[in-house]
Parts: sequence; structure tokens; C-alpha cells
Amino acid sequence: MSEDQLILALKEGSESAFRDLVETHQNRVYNTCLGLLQNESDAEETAQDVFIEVHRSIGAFRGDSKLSTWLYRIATTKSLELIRKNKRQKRFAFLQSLAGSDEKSDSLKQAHFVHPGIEMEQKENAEALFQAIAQLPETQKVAFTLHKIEGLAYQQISEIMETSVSSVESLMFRSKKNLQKTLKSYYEKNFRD
Amino acid sequence: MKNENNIETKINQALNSIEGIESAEVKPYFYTRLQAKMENQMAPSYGKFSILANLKLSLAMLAVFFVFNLTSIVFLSGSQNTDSTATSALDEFSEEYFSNPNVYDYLNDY
Repeated sequence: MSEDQLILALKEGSESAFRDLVETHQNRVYNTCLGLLQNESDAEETAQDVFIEVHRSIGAFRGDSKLSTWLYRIATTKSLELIRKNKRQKRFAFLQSLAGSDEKSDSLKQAHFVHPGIEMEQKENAEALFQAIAQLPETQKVAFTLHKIEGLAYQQISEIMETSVSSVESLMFRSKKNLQKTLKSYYEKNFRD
Repeated sequence: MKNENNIETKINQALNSIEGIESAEVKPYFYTRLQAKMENQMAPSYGKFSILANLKLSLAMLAVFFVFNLTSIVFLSGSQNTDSTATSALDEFSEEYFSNPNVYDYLNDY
């Protein structure tokens, strides 16, 4: 089935077409969400929400971009929304702890994440890198994740982020500089000798 | 100097650690879980605040509440009028039979 036929079938409410779409794209959507959210259960929930959103708004999809581009765009938007929500909850939990509330929040602790696709011998280095990625500004985080973790080309990233290729290049350059700075301060604190 | 070199090496190792990373895969039965979530979202909600979502029911309940309030106000003000009527009738009775003792003074003449 061609992409146009698939979109047409989806618009007609075909369940087999929807299943086909999910099974074709589920891993790339999940991998993108996981790279950004750095939490397996959050990534699973968000990936599900992406497909629910697609099911709900396929009627409004004009086909100006490829279906995969549209899916990546929804996946990054939903992941960033969850990151913002989690940050708000952490701030609230922090204020509660300052106010002397007895309720201790686990969300205050930064969970250490290692992507399941990392080679065993690289896990320690990758853990430090993922902590640094989590501290990047949103647009840099999206560009870096899509390029380095999802393996997309700058051209495709520019279509997903609705920006120019040169802007993506600039985002990648700044993200690498920021990662170097964060990693330097991390290693200066943890590995002085 | 040695430390600086070590840190530089560590940074480069960290940055290169995701080279050749493999794509993560969803756990089995992802589509089944997705279907369950979609069905759950489409089912009517009986949650704590679901009544707020049902605007028609909320408006009907609000209308009933106002009708009850209005009825109560009308009933209470009507009851106050009845009281005042009853009081004035009692006054007239009292005036008629007890407030002018001179009327019966002639009885004491004997």
C-alpha cells in the first residue's frame, strides 16, 4: 500500500490501515520519545498518545509533508509537553519540601537513564551524556536527539522542526558546545584525580 | 595538565558513546495496549469530576436548585404575612373584649 492509499484508508476510518501505520512507525515514534523523555514508561505512554492524536486528527492532515515527518512532529511536541509538565511538578514538589511538607517526592531525584540501544561498554559514558542532553534547551535537545539517536538527516530534521537546514546546523553546533561545557563541569566534580 | 587531558578524553568518550546506538523497540503487544487506551478514552467517564463535563445535567441541576430557592423565599414571605394578619385579628379581639374595662363598670354598681 502506498502512502497516499494508506492516508486515504486512514481518513475512511479503516482499522487495518491504522494497525498498519502503528506497526510500521511504532519503533521510530517510541525511540524518539525515549530519547527526549529518558524514561521508558513515559515514552510508551507518549508513543500511544501520538497514535491516538493521529487517529483523531488524520482528517485534518493535508499531506503537505510525509506521514513520518508528521509523526515525528507530533512525537517531539508531545514529549516536550510532558517534559514541561514534569518540570512543573518537580518545582511544585521542591516548594512543598521547602514548606516542610512530610510528603517526600521521588521526582526530585534525577533518575539515571541509559538508552537500551547503547553498547554495554559505553553505558557509563552514555549515562553522563544523557544527563547532559536532559539539560539542553528544547530546540537543541530535539535537533540533537533526532540526529544522533534517531539517525535523521539535517534535511528531515528541518522539515520536522519547520525550520531551515542552516538553523538545524546551528542548533547542532550549539548543542555540542553546551554538552561539552556540561560534561566538563560534571567530570571536574566527579573525576578530579 | 594531566587532569585536563583526562577530562578532555572523558568528554570525548561520552560524546562518542552514542555512535552506533541501536533504535529502541516497543515492548510486545504495543498495539493491543494502544487499543485498550483508545477504548478507555472513548468510554463514558464516571470519574470524580465527570459531572462537570456533563453541561446539560449541570444546568438542569442548577435550574432545580433555583426553583427550590425561589419556592422557599415565596413560602417564607407568605408565612410572614399570615403571621401579621393573625396578630392583627388577635389585637382586634383583645381590644373588643378586654381593652375597655369601663364598658362593664356598670356591673360593679350593684
